[in-house]
Amino acid sequence: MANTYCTATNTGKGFFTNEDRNNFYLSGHVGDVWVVGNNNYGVSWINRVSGTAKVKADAQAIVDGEIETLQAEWDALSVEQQARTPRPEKYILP
Amino acid sequence: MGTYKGIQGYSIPNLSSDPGTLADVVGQLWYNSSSGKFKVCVQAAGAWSSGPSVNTQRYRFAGGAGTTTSAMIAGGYTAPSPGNRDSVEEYNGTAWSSETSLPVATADTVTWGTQTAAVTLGGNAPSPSNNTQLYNGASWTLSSNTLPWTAARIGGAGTQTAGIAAGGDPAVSNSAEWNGTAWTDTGAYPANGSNLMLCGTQTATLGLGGGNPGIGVTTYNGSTWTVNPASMSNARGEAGYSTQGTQTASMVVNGPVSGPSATSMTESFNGTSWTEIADMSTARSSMGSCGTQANMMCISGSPNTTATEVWDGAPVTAKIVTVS
Repeated sequence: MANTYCTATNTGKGFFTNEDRNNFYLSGHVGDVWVVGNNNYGVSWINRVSGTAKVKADAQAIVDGEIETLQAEWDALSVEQQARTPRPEKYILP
Repeated sequence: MGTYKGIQGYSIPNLSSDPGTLADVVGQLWYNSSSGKFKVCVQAAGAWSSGPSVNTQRYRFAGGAGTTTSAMIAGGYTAPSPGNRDSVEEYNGTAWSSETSLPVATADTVTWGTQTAAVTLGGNAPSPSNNTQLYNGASWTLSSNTLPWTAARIGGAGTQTAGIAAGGDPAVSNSAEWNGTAWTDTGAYPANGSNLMLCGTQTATLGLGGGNPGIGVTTYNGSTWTVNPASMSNARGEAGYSTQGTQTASMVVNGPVSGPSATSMTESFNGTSWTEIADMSTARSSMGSCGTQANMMCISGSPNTTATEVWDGAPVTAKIVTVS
């Protein structure tokens, strides 16, 4: 398995470091969902940031729900405002 | 088999402590007599790290004033409310603070300069404007001298007394210089374009990306815009960029939209060619940014985030040599 999944609140500086980024894959998504490279460094990082482990389906559901909220907010904008930013779209987590 | 002395011209240094300036000894080996360890100085690949979050989430703003230790952002948009933002934040290297608001709440702005001498230009306020808003580090002035055209998503760079602006939405090829008190038309930008990312100075400007339709890379020498044949791997606008970059050292990160076509890709430019380097952690668009190719920050953006990420170049560290 290449990646593992968790939710964690980005606390700012030190939440992830240059060294973390060089040691494992990391990508952040709406809903505080993080996709983490599944190696020892990645697992240690999840523990360090007090992340809550998720299976991919649950992580995907959180992201989908957040995007649905963003889509509803976009749909509520005026046509003029909608023309100035694209409607958020769902996507598959890596 | 070659020896260290044969390769380097001297024996492995015997030092009581690690060298003080590691950047000067990248690739070098030494024996640390205090720890009894052989050590080598290595330079890791560069990477983005998390930075302090801003106080107010926003998107639809471009650029920012200052550096990764002394920055300022202004304006933008937050959906569904309040919409256009007048809020301003400064970063002191440790945390973001709220500062004196813009005279006019504006989305789709561009900001450049320093934390104590900045320009925020144009934008939707709520319709395309030609406002020139000036910041002195404490208060704002809405200049009576407006840009020669009205637009949002204009590109801008330079200083508060020697600035350069180009393009905008609706797509135009206008370009003008700012001398601190008035705008003067220059020759046209090489294409109609909005979301142009300008960096450098008024007499050595670099234009990057953009959209609608935009153009790849351009340079300005104080009198003429020229197309540079180098092109990014992933042409884009509404990206983060090194606002204090130069014609020979600049960087662009992230991309235009959320969803399947989102990109967190970082590309670095050396004046002739682009190199793709480490991605950011969180793909986003329409964000603020500031800094140089070596030290850059991306700030807030869409989809909703208050997060920042910081590029500190490629860190240099002393590693213990393990011999088995």
